[in-house]
Amino acid sequence: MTGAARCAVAALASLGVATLGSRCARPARAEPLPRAAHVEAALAAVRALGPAGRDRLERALYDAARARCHADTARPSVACLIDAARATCAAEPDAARCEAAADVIVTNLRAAPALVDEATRVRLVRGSTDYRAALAGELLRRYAMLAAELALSGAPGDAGGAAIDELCAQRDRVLHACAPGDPACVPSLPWSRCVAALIWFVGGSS
Amino acid sequence: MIGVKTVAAVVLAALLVALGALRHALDPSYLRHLSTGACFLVGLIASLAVALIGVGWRFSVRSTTSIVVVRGRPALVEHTRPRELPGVVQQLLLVAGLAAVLLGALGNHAAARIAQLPDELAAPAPSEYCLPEPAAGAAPEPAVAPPPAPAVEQPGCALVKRAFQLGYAKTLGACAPKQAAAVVISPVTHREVCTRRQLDEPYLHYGFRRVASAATAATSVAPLAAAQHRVADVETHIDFLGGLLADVNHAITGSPHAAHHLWINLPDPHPGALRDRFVGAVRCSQRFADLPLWPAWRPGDDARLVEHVLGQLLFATRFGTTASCSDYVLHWGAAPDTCRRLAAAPVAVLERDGALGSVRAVLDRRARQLELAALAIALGRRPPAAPPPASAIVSLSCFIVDPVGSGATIGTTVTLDGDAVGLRELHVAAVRTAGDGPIDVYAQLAALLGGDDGGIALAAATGAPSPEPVEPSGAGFLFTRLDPLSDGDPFRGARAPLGRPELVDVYPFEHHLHGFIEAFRRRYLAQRGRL
Repeated sequence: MTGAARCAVAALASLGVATLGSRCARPARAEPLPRAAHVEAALAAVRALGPAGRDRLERALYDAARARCHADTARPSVACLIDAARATCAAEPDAARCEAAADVIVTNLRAAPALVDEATRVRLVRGSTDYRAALAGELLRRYAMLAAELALSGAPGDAGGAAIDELCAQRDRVLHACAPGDPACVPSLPWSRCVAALIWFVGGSS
Repeated sequence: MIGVKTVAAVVLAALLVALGALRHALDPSYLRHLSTGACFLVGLIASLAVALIGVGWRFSVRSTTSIVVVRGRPALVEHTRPRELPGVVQQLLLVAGLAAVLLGALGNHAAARIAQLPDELAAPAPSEYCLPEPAAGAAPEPAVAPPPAPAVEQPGCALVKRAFQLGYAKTLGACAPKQAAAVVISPVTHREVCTRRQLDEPYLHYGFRRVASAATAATSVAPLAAAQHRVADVETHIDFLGGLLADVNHAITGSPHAAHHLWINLPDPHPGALRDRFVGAVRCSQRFADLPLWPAWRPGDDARLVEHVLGQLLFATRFGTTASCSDYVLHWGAAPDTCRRLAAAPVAVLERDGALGSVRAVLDRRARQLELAALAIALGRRPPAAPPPASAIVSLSCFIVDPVGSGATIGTTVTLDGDAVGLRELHVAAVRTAGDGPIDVYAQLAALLGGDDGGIALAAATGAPSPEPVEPSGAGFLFTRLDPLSDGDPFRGARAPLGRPELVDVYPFEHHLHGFIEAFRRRYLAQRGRL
């Protein structure tokens, strides 16, 4: 092997080592979240529960959030809510499906103060015997507005996870200025709260 | 061989009927609901129009030109005696065509409005006649406006309120709930004597009354005193003539109402394009009209990022009340020591950069408004509202990217034509476009323009509660795990999610930017004004 050939081989070898080194040094890029698949699974879980199952699970999680996570005095923490949801679903025959639906309910629980303003909540406390039911009715109006936006966005009647994910990912990018207490206007919402609200409405009405 | 009038009548009628049918004016459901008045009006207008057309058409005269078909193609033949529809039939065809079109144009509502028109025109106008007062009802009670809506949660105040509750702060400051007193609307207890014409007053009597009142007014004051008063009035106006003329000049020439100049040592993100030479540069208001919320930036987009953040802080309508775009001038490609030079020789630097004209115009406009206020006082009249201070309508700032920049804002004042003007300078080490870099730019520009955010400083002093960590990779509960993204304010340090691309896609930018920019504008716009 001539000197020039030896140099070329050495250069190629050093290039390979450098490339490997740089790949090892670069931080691993996180995979995108499986958003649409997760939305699809949660939607299927909510649908599968049926009206009675949805009501039962929602009531159980509402009570668990108040009892275990002190939701009536402060906003419950995520970790506490997840533990409470897991404990509630542990007794269910299909725990995975129950947890997928519980994810939606728990997110809606945390989102309620953002969707229903304080003045409306005070009115509900004063004017209704069952605050939880009154709040659920008020929230359902907001969810219906979101569902109307979903329908207007061109999503098919049996909107799937991809359509809900797409709407909620883009919805926050455009302006949603609402007058305080306007039930016909849903303000800008984070993706997780938007999809949870839509899944609950779409899954509960189909 | 058919006469041209017949052909024209048939074709015209067919076209008009087709047009009416296209506009659904001949639909049975529409015709069924047509009022008698509308039908009459359509018939009347169509008949009148055909009568008018008939003057030129001359329905009773036969056509001298006819249309014949020669080898499959139509041809005109002069001086013939063609076959012709009777004049009445031609008239009816045209009436039918016009009616079809008019049916679409004149619906029930339009017909009713037209029918009311004579009454409306004949009704006495309040500007000409003394109209009777509305019938007095029961004993007038002072009307109390409904209680004000409960105070809404002010963005950026949660931590201040928490600190107040915990005893770390003695007052809520700007975050205190606003209590508006109930507005009592007093009933009108007296009414001015109406000197206009009475409803039943003859015109001659009204005319005599006007002449008599003018004569009485002319003789009710002493002529000498009136003349002296007039002379004094004119002399006072002459004393302030310069200010009066300059004020008119400002109004006519449209001189600026405020001048805020910002020097940035980054290259112009929109260097003059060839297209701009022909159609003009894009207007400021147009450029910032529809800014995306959080665009993806690439390395080298420093200037575009700074411009975007400025646009969102000051001009984006989605965040509430905006500053006026035309009051701001961005000087790109500035020297790093511009503010130091401005402090030393403001007039020279402003003149070099073409900013002196607008600054002087604003200061002069303000001075003239002060002169007009002095004129009003000299004349014994109530002076107009005082203009904002010079420091509120003129400002000079520098945003300098400097590797050794400290990131601290330095403020001073310079004197221009006797007025003190604020000069603020910020040197930042770099503009980072990746990850949470844009958050730094928002915070830096907000501090440069409006000063430090007291809420953020207080949170730093009292130790704001750290938000829950966001970890979406756990088993299940993706939505719940992502929910704390709304709680962690990136402007108060919770920036970790912005370094993770999978979270950036679902990050609640609107929520956090809205809170920050709204709080900034509340602080900043209170310091600024316009003439």
